[in-house]
Amino acid sequence: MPTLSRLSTFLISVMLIFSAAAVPCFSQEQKPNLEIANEYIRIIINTLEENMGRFSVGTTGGDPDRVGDEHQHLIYGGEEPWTSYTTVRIGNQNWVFGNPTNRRAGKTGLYGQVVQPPTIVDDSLVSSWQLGPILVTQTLSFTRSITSGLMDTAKIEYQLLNTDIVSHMVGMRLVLDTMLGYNDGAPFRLTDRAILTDTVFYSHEMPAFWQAFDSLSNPQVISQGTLAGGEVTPPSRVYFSNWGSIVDGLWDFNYQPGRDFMRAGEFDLDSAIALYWDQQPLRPNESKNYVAYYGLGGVTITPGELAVALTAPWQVKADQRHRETFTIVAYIENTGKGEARDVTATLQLPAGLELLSASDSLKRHYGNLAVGETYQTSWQVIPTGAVTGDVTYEVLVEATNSESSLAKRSIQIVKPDFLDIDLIGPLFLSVENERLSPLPMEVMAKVTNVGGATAYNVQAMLHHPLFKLAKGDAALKKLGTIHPSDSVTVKWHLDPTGISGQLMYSLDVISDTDRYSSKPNEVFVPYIEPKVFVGEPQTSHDRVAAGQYFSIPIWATNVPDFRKAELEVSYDPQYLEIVGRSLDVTRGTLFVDPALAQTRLLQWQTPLVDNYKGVVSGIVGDRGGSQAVDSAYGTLITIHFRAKKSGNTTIRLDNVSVYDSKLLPIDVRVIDRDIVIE
Amino acid sequence: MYFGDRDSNNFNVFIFISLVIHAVIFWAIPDWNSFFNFGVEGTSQGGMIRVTYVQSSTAKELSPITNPASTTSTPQVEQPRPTEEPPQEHAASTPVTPESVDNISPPVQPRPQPVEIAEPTAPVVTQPLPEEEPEVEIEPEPITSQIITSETGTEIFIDEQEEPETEVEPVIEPAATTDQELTPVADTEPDSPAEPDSEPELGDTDASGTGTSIVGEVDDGSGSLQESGTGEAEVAPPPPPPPAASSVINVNGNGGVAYPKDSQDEKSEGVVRLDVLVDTDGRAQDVVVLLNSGDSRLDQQAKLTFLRNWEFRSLENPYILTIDVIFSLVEGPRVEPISIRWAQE
Repeated sequence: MPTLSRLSTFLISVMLIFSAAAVPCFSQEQKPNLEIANEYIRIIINTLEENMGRFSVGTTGGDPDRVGDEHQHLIYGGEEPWTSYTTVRIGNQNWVFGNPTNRRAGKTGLYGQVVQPPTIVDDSLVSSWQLGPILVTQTLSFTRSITSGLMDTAKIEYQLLNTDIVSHMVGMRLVLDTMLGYNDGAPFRLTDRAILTDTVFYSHEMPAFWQAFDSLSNPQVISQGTLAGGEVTPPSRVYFSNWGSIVDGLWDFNYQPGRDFMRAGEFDLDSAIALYWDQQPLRPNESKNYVAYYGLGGVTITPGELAVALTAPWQVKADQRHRETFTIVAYIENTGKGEARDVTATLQLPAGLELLSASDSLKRHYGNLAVGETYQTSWQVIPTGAVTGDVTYEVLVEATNSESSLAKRSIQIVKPDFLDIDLIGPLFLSVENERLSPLPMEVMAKVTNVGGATAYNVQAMLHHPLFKLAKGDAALKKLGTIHPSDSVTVKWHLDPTGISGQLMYSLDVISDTDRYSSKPNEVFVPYIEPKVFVGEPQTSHDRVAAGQYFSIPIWATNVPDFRKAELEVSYDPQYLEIVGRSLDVTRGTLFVDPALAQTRLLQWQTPLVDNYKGVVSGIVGDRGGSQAVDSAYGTLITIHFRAKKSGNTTIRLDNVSVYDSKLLPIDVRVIDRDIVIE
Repeated sequence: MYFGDRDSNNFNVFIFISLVIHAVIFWAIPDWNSFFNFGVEGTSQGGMIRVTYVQSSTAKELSPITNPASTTSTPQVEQPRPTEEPPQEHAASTPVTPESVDNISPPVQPRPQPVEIAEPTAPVVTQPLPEEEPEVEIEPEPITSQIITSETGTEIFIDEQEEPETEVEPVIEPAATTDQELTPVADTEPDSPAEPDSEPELGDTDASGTGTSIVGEVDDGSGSLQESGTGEAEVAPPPPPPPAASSVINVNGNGGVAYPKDSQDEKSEGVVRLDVLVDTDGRAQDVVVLLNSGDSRLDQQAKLTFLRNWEFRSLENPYILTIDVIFSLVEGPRVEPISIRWAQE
């Protein structure tokens, strides 16, 4: 029976162990993604261990003017994106943003360390990876389409920050595996071209946008990539090719002009796009931002036997000073049952718009259009500058054997963005405790967009010829986007130490549209004489009394290019004594370097204390040539005295020598101090 | 003492009852995760619910190979798992030395005898074999095996340890089916289907013997083939076998087989077995899927890749190469040659 008991106990123990092990084994299924969505589109980012950081885009409600494009793919991958990836080329190495993959897209790339896994921050999906010496932050959010004017576009932004101490050549490639619903191989359409084979565009010929759709009569979804305009950073080059070929190469890939979009190694059409920002030097602590737009296409479709679709920017900037050109694109598809003969398309412009080139023709002749065939044409148009507001243009499509179609679309003409700069700073500085005040000097700029259009990529550069910037501050600041009537305030902190007089500074502001300069501001900075002096007695009581201990700091202030100091301190031994001798002498703050992570003591010679003569001699401190400070403000030594009896006495500074970084003597004013002992 | 013993007995009874209850609970609720997981997975942190439509595998539509009606038994398809160990080096994949290849002379008879080379570790159509002798299928040391060419040209495997019928039947089926489906091949042998003396199980083809029977013997072209020496049929000299299956692929930089993007996206895996009819110019003339993977995209990818993209080694006669394409998400796509034989004229 005892054996049975022990056996039972053992079995129960085993069962309890297994039971306990079973309970925490509830499968915590890893969430495959994070997503943000609005009424038009959604952005999904992969949060799984593999492929983390890769994203896809799809529709939610889609284009409000179109039925049937709800809940469609715009980028392949759906809930677990993996086919689109971003390469950061550093030197001759190709790093892939995000976590490693075991699949075809980017499998052989270098991968870095995750700094911030995908996180939702202020309606954006933010994630960061350290790719070698470069910290890369990906921010996915919504933005306004340049053709629809709706927030139906994904803003794909990367910030590349050089965290190294040397410069690197850095470039970036963004691959978008475009998809229209379930059509993974739709052709691209740019201006008057349909892109069906491998094609490249360079920066000098870059169109404002490309679009993709499968059919005008029944489009599943129309997508659009923006290559210029808005906050977009125009790429150096853009390749249209098949997905397989593009993703097989981490940077360069097998590009074959004229080859169709058959996926390399497979037998399905699969179109994709690669945007390149070629390598540029990135200095230490310098950052670069790259922005791409991808979302829904703003296309107005007019059905009919000759279906016509019009697209163009929804807004254009113009006034007498600045006129922005734009492209009107017309897609014409024969959706009838027979060939359309002698097809023509005629653009009809309203007042306020005109063709960019007088030699251009409003009427385009295509010839015969077969059933299902699409004809694509475009016009370069510019506002006259005399009209603002909404205007409507039309395209009339005619054929000799078919009903004509008239397509209309509106565009808003607004005044360009105009930035008003208000630069604010002190008129003069004062002196307090041998120091300029306020220090650092704060300069604030308020930049207001008083124009009619949004100002993109606004940057502000402070010019300060004589001032130094406070540590950690930078002259160039990126203000980003400023909408009409909005303001952005930005501050700089200047250090005027070591300089004096009537000084000037000014501000330049740059946007995609124009460049602006502020009027120079002036500030009076007073001169402060370099001094070495005996400071106020420091005591725990209101005054110094006989028998009490107190400290006397010896200060050096406003000494330019200060490196080294030598001096002696004399006192009357009848009134004062240094009880602990050298133990009651402390090195000054100017011979301690707090700049490093761990405070470092600089060269300092322990002085000799003679209480009989009342002399502290051999006070020598040397910061070293490389540690010289532009303007010294601190103590050379602090001495702890005991007042022996009441009376008046003087603490003197003798043989004071101060040197600059080249060990040349500096003229300073030396000031003793009388002490009253009660 | 008395009360103490009674307490002890009560305790043991309690322990026994407890054991029984636990056993019943563990038996009744084997899935502890689902038992305790009251909520919907992934929703506790705002996750997403994925509803996946699971389509019945098309593999259930039995191919002629897996159709019980076409065989005397019920073969089963064993598909390798990605976690399997890499296949062993075996006879079929052993490179053929140049000498052995060069020494292959054109067949004297106009009717070459195909030879099928078995692969020990590749997924094969297998008959449930006697458990006590599983090594016969995969053991690459067939020193004791012999092949006897019968009067019909059929090679019969003779093993010292068991009767040949149990081995021959299931493995022979793919070859027989293949020849029937490969139209160009079947057309070259019009007599075969009507051959009255042919055994249905063995087929009327040249697919003599089994892969098992010749493992390790003919991979280098020097297998111990014997004529039966019995019967009334004329005694034909053993035809020179084709080179090893592994030696006719991967020529001219064939770039492997790409994993279909959509299959990879849906995490679909599988093994496709195909017969590739290779013409004398090294191009695939026809590809027949012997065993489908359950994912038509994988099947089509494998088929079209060999048909359109690959170039094989050109031999003096058309041949049929049996290949497995293993689509593994972990290891990627892998091509494994199974066997090779001359196409029937």
